Amino acid sequence: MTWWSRTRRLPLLAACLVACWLLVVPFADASLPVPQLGGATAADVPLLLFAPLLPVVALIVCCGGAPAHEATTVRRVGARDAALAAALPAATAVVVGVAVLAGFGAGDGSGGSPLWSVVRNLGAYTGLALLARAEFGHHAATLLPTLTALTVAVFGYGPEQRAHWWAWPAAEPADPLAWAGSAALLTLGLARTVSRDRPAPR
Amino acid sequence: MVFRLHLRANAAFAAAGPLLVVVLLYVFAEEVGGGPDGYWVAGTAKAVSALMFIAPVVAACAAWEAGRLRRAGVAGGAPVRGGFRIAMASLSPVLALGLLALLVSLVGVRVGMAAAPGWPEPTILAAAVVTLCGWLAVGYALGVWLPPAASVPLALVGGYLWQVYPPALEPLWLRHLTQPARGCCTSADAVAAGGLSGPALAAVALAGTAVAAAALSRRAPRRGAPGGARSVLVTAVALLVASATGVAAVRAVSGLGPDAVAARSADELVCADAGAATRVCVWPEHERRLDETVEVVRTAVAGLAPVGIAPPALVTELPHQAAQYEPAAGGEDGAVTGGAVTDGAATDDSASGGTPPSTGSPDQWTITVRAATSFTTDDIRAGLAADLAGALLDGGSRTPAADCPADPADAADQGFQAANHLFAWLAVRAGTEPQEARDRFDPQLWTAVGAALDGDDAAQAAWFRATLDRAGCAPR
Repeated sequence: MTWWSRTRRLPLLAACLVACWLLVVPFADASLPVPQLGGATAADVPLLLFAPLLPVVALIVCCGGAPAHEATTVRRVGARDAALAAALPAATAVVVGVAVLAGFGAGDGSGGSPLWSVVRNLGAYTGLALLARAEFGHHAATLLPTLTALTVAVFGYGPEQRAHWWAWPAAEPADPLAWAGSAALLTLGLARTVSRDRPAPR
Repeated sequence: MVFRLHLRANAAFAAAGPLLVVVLLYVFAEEVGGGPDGYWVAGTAKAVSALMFIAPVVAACAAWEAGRLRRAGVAGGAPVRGGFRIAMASLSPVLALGLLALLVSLVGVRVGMAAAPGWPEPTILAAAVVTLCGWLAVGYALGVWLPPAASVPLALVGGYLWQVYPPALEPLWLRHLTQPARGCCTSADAVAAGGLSGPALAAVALAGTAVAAAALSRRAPRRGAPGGARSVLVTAVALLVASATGVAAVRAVSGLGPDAVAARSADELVCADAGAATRVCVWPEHERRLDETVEVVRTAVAGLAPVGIAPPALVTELPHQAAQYEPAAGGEDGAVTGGAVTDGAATDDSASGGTPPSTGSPDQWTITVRAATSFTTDDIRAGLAADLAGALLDGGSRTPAADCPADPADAADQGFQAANHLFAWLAVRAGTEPQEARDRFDPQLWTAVGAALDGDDAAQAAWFRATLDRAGCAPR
C-alpha cells in the first residue's frame, strides 16, 4: 500500500483535483466564445467542458510513474488504481453537492446546477482516459478525452447553440443520455483497469 | 552513423489526416465570415485564420516528439549532434505538416473564390509561418519539461484557447497578438502592418521563452553537459530576445481596433468612363464586371438627371470617407489619385435643357460589386440606389420639412417611411424594372411610389424634393 501510494503521487493528484474544484465552483457559469463548425455560428463553450481535463491528466500522469517491475508483483494494483480513478468523480460529486447547497452555481434554474456537469464530464473523461490507456498506453491516454473535449467545443453545437445529442459533455446538466453515456464510459474504463493486471485465463 | 528520418513514426504522420479534414471543413464552412470575393488579401487572411486548428496540432505533435526524445534518453547519452539538429530532425516533419495544412487552407480558400487576380499576400503568409514556428518551439519545450500525457493535452487545449479566446477579452488589441491579419478584410480594406508584425513578434517571444525553457531542462538533448556556460548563454540570449520582441509586439498592436485593417489604397482601383463627366472605378478583382457596372451607372445617370440628381464625377467602390479623386483629363482607363471630393455640394450643371434644378446631390456615388455570379446586375443597381439614398439623406445642407409632426415618434415614423419611398423610387429611376421593384418592395410602400412614378419628370422632381424633406423629419 505504501509503495502503491508513493508511486501514484497522491499529493500531486490531490492538488490538481482541488485546483479543479477551485476553478469550477466559483466560475461555474463562465464560458468561452468559440467558433463553431457544427451548425451554430459561434457558441459560448462552458468552462466546465475543459476544466475536468486537469484531474484526468493528473491521474494518468501520476499513475504513470510506476516502475515496470510492478507487473510482476504479488499484489495486484488494478483494483486500487480503479478505486483511485473512481474517487475523482466521487469526491467531486461530494464537493459539488456541498457547493450547490451553499448556493454556488445556481444556473438559470431550468435544468439543475451546471456544476453537476463537472461530475458527469469528469466521469466521462476519466473513463475515456482509462480506456485509452488500456488500448494505447499511458503516454497517449489523455489524448482521447482531450480530443473529445475539443471536438465537442468545435462541432458539438447546432443551431440556437444547443448541444448535439452526441455531445454529452456539452449537454444540459440534467440530460439523461449524457449521464448514462458518461456513466457507461466510466464503468467500462474502471472495468478495464481492474482487469488490467489479472493473469490471462489458461 | 547514417541518419535516417522515419516519417511514419512521427506524430505528424498520424495527425495529418484529421488536421487536414478539419482545416477543409473550416475553410468551406459557411459560417466563416463572408467570402473573400476574389480579393487575395482577404483570402489569405481567411486561410491563415485556420491557424486556430493548425497551431495547436503542430504544438501537440512537437510535444509528443519531444516526449519520444525524452523516453529514448537521448539527453542522457552523449549526442554527437547539437540540440538544435536533434530537435529539428524530429520537428521538421511537424513543421512540414503545419505548412501543408496552411497550403491546403489556401487552396480551399482559392477554390471558393470566383476569380482571384494576383497572388496570396506574402506578408500574411510569412507572419503565419513565424507563428507556426513559435508554436513548434512551445510544443517542444512543453514536451521536454512534461510527460506526453500532460504536454500533449496542454499544447492542444492551451494552443486552441490561445487562438480563439482573446477576441472575447479587453483590450481589443490583445487579439492581434495571437493570429496574423485577424478581422481582415473587406474589399475596401488592406491589412494593417501591426496586424502582421504584432503576432509575428509575439510568436518570436513565445519561441524565445520556449528555447530558454528547453535549454534549462536536463532532459533536452544537447551536445555536452547540461547546465554549462553554453546553456546559460543560450537561455540568457533567448530570454532577452523574448523580452524585446514581446514589448515590440505589444507596441505594434496597441493602436489597433477590433480588426487589423487599414484603408485600401485608391491606386488599386480600375476605372472607365461612363459618359462625359462620370468615371466608374472598381477594385481589380471586380474588373471583369467593369463594363457591366459602367452600363448600370450610365442607365442610372440617364434616369436620374432629368429629375434633378446631377451626374456624379465619380462612382467608386472606395468608401466615401477614403475617396481621394481627381477627375482624369481623358483616356479610357485612369487611376484615382489625389485631390478632394466635393461631398454634398450642389452641382447645378444639369439644370440646362429644361431639367429641374439639382437637389444637393453628391458628387461621388459609391457602388458595390461582387465577383460572384450570384451577385446580379440588379444587385449592383439596388446597391447603387441604396448607397445614393443614404448619401442624399445624410447630406448636410438638407433641411427637414416644415410640417414634420411634433411628436418625435411620429416624426421618426414619417421620416423612415419617406426614406423607404425614396429608396424604391431611386431604384426604379436608376433602371430597375417597375414590375421587379413592385415585387421587391412592400405593396403599401409601392402604392405611394407607383403613383409618383406615373407623373412626368417635373412632377417626379417635385415629389423627390418633398420626400427628401419629409425624410429629414427622422432624427439623424
